[in-house]
Amino acid sequence: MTPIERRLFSMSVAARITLTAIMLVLFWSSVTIAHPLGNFTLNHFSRIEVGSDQIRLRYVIDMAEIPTFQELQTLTTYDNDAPPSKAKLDAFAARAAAEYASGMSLSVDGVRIPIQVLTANASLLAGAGGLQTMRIQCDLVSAIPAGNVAAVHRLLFADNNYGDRIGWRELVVSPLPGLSVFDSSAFGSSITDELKTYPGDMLQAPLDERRAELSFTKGAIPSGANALLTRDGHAVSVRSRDRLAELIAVPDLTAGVALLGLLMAVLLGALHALSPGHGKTVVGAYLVGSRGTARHAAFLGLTVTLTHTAGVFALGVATLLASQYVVPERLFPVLSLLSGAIVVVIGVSLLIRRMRAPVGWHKRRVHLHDEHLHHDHSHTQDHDPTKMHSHGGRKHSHLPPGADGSPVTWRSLLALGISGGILPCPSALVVLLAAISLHRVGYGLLLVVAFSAGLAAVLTAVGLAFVCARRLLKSTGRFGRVATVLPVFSALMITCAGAAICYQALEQTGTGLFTAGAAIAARVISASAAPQFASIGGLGLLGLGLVFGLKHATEVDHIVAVSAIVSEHRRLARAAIVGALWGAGHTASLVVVGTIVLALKIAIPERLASWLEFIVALMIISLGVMAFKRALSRRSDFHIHRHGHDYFSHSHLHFHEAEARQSAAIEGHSHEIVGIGIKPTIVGAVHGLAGSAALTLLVLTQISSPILGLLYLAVFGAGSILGMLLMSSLVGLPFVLGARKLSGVHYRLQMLAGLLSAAFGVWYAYETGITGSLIRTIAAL
Amino acid sequence: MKIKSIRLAEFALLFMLALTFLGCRSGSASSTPESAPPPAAHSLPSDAEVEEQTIRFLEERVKRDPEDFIAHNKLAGQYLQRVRETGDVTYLNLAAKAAHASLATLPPEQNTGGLTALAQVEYASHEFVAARDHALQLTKLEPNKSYPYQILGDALLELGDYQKAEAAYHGMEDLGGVQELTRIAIEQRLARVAALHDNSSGARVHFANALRMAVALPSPPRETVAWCRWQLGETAFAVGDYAEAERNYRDAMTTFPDYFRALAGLGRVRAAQGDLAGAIKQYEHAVHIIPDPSFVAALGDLYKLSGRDKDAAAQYSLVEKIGRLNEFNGALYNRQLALFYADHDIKPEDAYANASKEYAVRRDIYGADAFAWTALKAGKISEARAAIKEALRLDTKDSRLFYHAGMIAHASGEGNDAREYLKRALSLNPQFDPLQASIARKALEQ
Repeated sequence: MTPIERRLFSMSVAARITLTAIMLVLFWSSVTIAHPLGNFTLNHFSRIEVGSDQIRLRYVIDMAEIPTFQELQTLTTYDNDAPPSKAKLDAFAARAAAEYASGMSLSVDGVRIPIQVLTANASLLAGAGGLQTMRIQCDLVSAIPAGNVAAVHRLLFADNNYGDRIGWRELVVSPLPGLSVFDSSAFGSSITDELKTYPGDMLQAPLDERRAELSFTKGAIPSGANALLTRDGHAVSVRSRDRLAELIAVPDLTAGVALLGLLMAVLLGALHALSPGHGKTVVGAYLVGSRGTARHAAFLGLTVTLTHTAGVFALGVATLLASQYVVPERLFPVLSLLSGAIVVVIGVSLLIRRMRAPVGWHKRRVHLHDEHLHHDHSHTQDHDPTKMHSHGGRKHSHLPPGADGSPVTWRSLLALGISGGILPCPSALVVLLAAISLHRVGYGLLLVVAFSAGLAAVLTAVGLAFVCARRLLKSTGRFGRVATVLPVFSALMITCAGAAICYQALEQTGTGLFTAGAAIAARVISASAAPQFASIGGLGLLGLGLVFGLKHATEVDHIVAVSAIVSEHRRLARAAIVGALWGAGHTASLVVVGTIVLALKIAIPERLASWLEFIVALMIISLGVMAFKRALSRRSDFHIHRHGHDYFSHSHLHFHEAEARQSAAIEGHSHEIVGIGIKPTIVGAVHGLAGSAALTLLVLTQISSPILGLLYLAVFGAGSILGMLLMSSLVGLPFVLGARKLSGVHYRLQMLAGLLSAAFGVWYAYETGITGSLIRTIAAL
Repeated sequence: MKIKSIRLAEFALLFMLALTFLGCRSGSASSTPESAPPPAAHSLPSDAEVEEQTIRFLEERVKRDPEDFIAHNKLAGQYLQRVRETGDVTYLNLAAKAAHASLATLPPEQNTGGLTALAQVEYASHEFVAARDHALQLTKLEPNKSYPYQILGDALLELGDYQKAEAAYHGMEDLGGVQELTRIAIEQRLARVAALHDNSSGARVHFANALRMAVALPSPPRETVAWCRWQLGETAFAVGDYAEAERNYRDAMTTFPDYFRALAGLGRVRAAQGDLAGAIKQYEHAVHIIPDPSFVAALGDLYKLSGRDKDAAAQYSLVEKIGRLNEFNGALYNRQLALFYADHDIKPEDAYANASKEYAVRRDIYGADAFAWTALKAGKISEARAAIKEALRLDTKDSRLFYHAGMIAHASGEGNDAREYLKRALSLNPQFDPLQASIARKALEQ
């Protein structure tokens, strides 16, 4: 063994010993935990399950050590410490259940209805001090009088058992599928999960719920009524009937019944597919964006069927084998998330690919308009850019790859199919598990396959519909412009659908993204509002500076200024560069001012700072106005581009960048952008001057060494560059997209951006000028 | 000067009342003249619903804002009230959690409410040393308030430091004798001190005062009124006045139906009057509500006397089970269990060990008594003798103390002293305990 291996092995031995010791301690301590609610308590739990023609009651009594001992003494002789036999316990449970039933009162619409015991079960569990605790669980049922045809019923329940004993008393109402409960004095959820776990760490006096009053009706709750609430305050929604699960539980299984059942399953699967979910949007968007054929649609359908069936089987087996660890309800959100993630990945990759090769955007492709190359075809008719052509080089079409006749990649189809089928329907899972418990495994499997087939059939139909629609559109000829937009749009739709699936999945797991994000943001804001530099070390300080710089980029006036500039650019990379240049200018001025301040140990006077802010406001106004004017003048810039020679016309759908230089030279021209200019840098520099006052003052007072302070400013600047880069990319995205495809939208966006910037600038000027003391200063002069 | 004159006046009043009592009591034991009869009992509205809502409201508050120490303090107070009403130890744990949470948010120097809650929780959990220390700290933090001295006095009383306890109660009187609730509390404390000092009539007067003041409040607190009535019953029982005791216990139950203390008291009185069946019924009801070991033990004794040996054995075994849980549940029932073991000659060594452990910390007269009794049963006569002398140092009129003293003297060979003590025990309260009283009688006949 090498020395390293030896060390690892010996470490693992020590770790193993520690682990064993810990486990022993835990095991030992777990044995001696007393009944959590005190040894004298007798705790009640009632669940009222409201059905359409009967009320079912689940009643649990959990006795702590002493009451258990008292009860057991009636079963066995006191000095016979042997536990009572199963028969005795069962008999005791039956007696107890009968007593409990007579100690409860249930009335519907004022008429008291009798309660019958269905099952009763008593079990003994280990408690403290070598004593035992007892759990008596019974199911009771009570029929609603048949003659009662009122739409809305009022139910009263009271539990009078052991009225004078101390203990926890919990009451829960749960409506059966198809019914809704409202105006209820009881809650719809349990804290203790049927008295299996009691709240330990929080302050919660034992519940004392002995009575419940509620109204129930079939269907939805009437308007104006208060819905049944869970203890967290969420409303309990009406559960719909699970018809698929009802199929498996038919009393006799004859051939005819089985066949009918399979048919029903197919129909149910088809119906289920029509409900939201299972990626119809995704499939449709994909097939319409790429050149899908009927074959692709069919393949997609098949994949979904197989994946769905396989998913149900896998989950069913897992649930059976590892029912302690695998709780299907917990897995569903995870699977949802996975499916959503796959969809998002597909969507983003498609988006990137399709955006990289937009119409008319040839990267560094100088094309020559030699005469001889263009003699090959006639140019009098309208030139369809979607068809294959060449400008003298390679044959190409101005459509994104994958849409020019090459087959849709089977890999992405497969991925889409998997993502659609990966989330097994809960009803299908229930069917499988019920089939296994009813010993009708074969029938259950067939039902699941039939269900998945129905699901897939509808999905295929949806895909085919989209494919046909696309063909129809194309044949009418108006497809030209739409064809170029559609792929990108569809990729965007796919991404959004995937993101929505992910968000829903996260919500199901209980992590509300907004609340979590808000919590984190609140923490960051509070931390940054009151920074305590003195307490953190140098490295922490620099890290903090990076974070602050990132956050600094998100300030409104910065974004507004940058967006006014970004609105002119059509490329994402350009927008990002604008942001980066802004950040560079900002950092430069910050560092310069900071050096001066730290070296000379002076602070920028507040008056000067307000003036600088005012200048920033004016700058924003001017930027906004300039952007607006430019947008106004360039509205008609979508043109058929003449390449400087008159004997042929050659149309490209494209625009000119603001500072593009076009050479009319014969030898060639390029549609490439030359430069962005130093406008963003200057804007950033002015911003830096304005903001530097507060920041440098802060640094001056809190950081002792000037070198560290300067370093902090530099790191802050780097953070702000990065932040602004990201922000400007984000801000520029709509402009970039709008610019590419739809001519008018881009200019309208730009005008809007210009207007907004100007308006913001005016308000900002007002804030700093009027409400600050500038006007007074001017007046005083 | 003003304060001194008030105290003097009070003393004079008490003295005159005492004289009156003595004069009237020269008649038959069953006559019960009082300077002012306690007000007639009627059932008081239960504040249970309001209390429940208050507790839920406060719990919601602390769930939303775990640093709301004021809500925690109030919550601790509400839980302690629940403990007094139901005897449920769950609420004691909750009160402790609330008090600790409050002090975790803000330290005692700025959070006297939290410190008060903690001291009260410790007192209720029988951690008297901690309660005393925290109460002392509280008196320094709030030198002008009376309630720190109340808690301090209570803790010192339970620890057996009677002089300091009385001084604390005087301090309490001096500082806060104006508010109604404080006056009620003062009266209750003075009554307890009087009972300890062989002044059962004085105790009765104070309890009656407290009761009257409580009933006269705009909304009389149900548990306080019931407790005062119960205490009046206990005082009457201690001097053998069973009819009066029964009346007071019934009044307590009228005020607060199923008040578990009154139920047990009624059972005891029934047994003393010879109505075994009635006594068993009462005790069964009490045990049904809360299986306090002293109730269970008494029920067992009654079963034994009725000849139901199997049921008796079941109850005794239950008491032992509670004893086994005792190590987990803390020291709440320590003394009762030790006395139970000693009374029934079960596990004498364990009982002695328990009693001596407790007596090391808590040196009040009843601790000394328990120590002495268990020492006797464990065969340690000399220790028993020393301890019982300590137990009798205040001349308290308690039949059980005299009975224990008599039995110890008997075991030490002092026949005359033994006879003297046993006679006193039986003349004061002939049926002080169903089983033990007959043992005392048998010993006297020897």
